[in-house]
Amino acid sequence: MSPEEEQIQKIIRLKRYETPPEGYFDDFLTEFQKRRDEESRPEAPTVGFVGKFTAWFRGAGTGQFVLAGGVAYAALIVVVLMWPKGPENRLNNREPVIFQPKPVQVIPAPQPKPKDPPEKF
Amino acid sequence: MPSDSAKESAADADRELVRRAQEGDIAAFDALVVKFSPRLYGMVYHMTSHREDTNDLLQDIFAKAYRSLNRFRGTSSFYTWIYAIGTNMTLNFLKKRKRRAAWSLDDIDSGIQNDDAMVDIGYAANPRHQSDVNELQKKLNEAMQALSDDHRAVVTMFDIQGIPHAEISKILKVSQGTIRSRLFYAHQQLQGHLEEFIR
Repeated sequence: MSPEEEQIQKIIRLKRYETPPEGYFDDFLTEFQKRRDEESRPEAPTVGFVGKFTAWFRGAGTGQFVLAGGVAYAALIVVVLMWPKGPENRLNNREPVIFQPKPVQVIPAPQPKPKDPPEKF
Repeated sequence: MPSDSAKESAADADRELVRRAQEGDIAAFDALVVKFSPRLYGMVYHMTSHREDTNDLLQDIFAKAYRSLNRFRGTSSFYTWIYAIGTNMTLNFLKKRKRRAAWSLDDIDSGIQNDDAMVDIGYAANPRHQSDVNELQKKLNEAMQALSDDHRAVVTMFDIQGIPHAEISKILKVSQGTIRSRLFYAHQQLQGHLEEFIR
């Protein structure tokens, strides 16, 4: 190793003197124990589904959002295509729709039957 | 430098703690945290030059080690295993982190004044020594941050923490030849940044 390299190593080793404040590692252990206790606590049943749902979104990466967006879009397309259409002549027939009342069929009243003359005794 | 027998008994003690922790003894895992957190802190801090990031990362590293403990088979030492976890998580973190405008540095221990290097570069004799020590700290961190993450990792482990090449090779899963060439290149880069301190 060249003298310059040795010198550089000595200088870099000075970084060993950069240390955290006194008591740091005691606090670190306490913080770690607290976190471990929280992580190992079982979930409350009421939190279950809601908690998992929100946790999924919190932890969701871009991929999950893209997938969810894609599924929603596909569902929308299906709904649009399957939606029941309006009156059939509305879109295809360019003629205006004109309301015409149906002709009324007149049924003549039945003729009364002629009465038989009264019998003569 | 600890003797081989001292190292062997330390390794045995670690194995016993790991065995108990794997059986559910959380006090045994806490003992491992106490033992290894200073070394791991040093690695993460020198890689990130940011104490808040270091604290958060270190918590995550031990949390991951705790969750994965049952997968540790003892083919390497626990120290190598957790150090590898720590290095990988730190390197992943640095890839995602945008370059910070400001560092958050630990204070320098007063013992630095007695270090040979300080004598060599003439800082001990300088009446403005405290401001010069701060200036030196700033320059050192600038020089380290100018390195790529991979080069900074080998300088941190070898030059700062004194880990042998063979151990670094197991931690980073690269050959010793790669370790040596990264170190050589990193030292060349550092010489360029720190030439004002080299006599």
